[in-house]
Amino acid sequence: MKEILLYIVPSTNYFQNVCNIIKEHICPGKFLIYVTTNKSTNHLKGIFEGMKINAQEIFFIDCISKSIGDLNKEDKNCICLEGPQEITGLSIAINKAVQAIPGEKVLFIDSLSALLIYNDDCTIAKFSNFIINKMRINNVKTVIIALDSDADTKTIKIVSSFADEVKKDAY
Amino acid sequence: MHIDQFETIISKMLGIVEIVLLLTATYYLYKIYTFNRLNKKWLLFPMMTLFFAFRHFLILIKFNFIEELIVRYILFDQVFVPFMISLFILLGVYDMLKKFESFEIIEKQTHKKTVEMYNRKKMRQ
Repeated sequence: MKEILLYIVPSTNYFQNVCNIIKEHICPGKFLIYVTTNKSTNHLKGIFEGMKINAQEIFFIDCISKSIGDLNKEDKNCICLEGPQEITGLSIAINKAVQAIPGEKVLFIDSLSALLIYNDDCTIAKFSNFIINKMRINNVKTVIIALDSDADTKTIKIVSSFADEVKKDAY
Repeated sequence: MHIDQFETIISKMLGIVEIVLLLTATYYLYKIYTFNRLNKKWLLFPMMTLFFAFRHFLILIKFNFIEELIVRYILFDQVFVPFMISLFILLGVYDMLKKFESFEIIEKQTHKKTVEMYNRKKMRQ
């Protein structure tokens, strides 16, 4: 079974592609842990409703809402981090969420390209290697999104080598 | 060799070693910062050791060889430098504490919210 998937997504119709990938992996009985680095949870929930994706079934690790001031403290399905630069906090939140939820789950990282804006290449490569190996040990299916414009960067090439499969088409 | 000359040589040699040790510590502290880059305030630690090295350097080059500068030097060495070092340590350690506290909060909140979400899902089923 292919556990670690890297999707190289075109920047045009980016979010439509992301939603299609989510639909491909979400199913009843499975938990989706969604790491967002470029859209706030409130905004995502609105989009997901329109796309007929049940956001109540998704746990959000939000790296952007706090920094842009779109924080909803009452949100029960979301944990907000200081910002996309807080890689240590992100690793802690992912690990804790994976450990706390029993059964099948999917980790969705949207996206490596956004993390690369706030962190250097080496940090993101180390983070990706750590998360991928952790998820592999815990048998957690992991979907990582990256923009096609970053496909030739050193970091994405390194992460490609860690993944079980790299998908490069539009979805 | 006169005892005073011997003391001067020893203090000079130890002074150079101290500067080397402090500069090495500065480098290591900076490396620690670059590993996580959690907060710029953590740079206060290498700044502190650099300040210390600068202080030793001033002693070594005999900043007080001119009589009039002795008072200024004592003020610098015994008041200003210890004050700045204490301030840097306090700010750096406080920020480090806050950061580690925030990690604990993230860990606890994630655990609580994911377990609650799992239970809600079970109830719906």
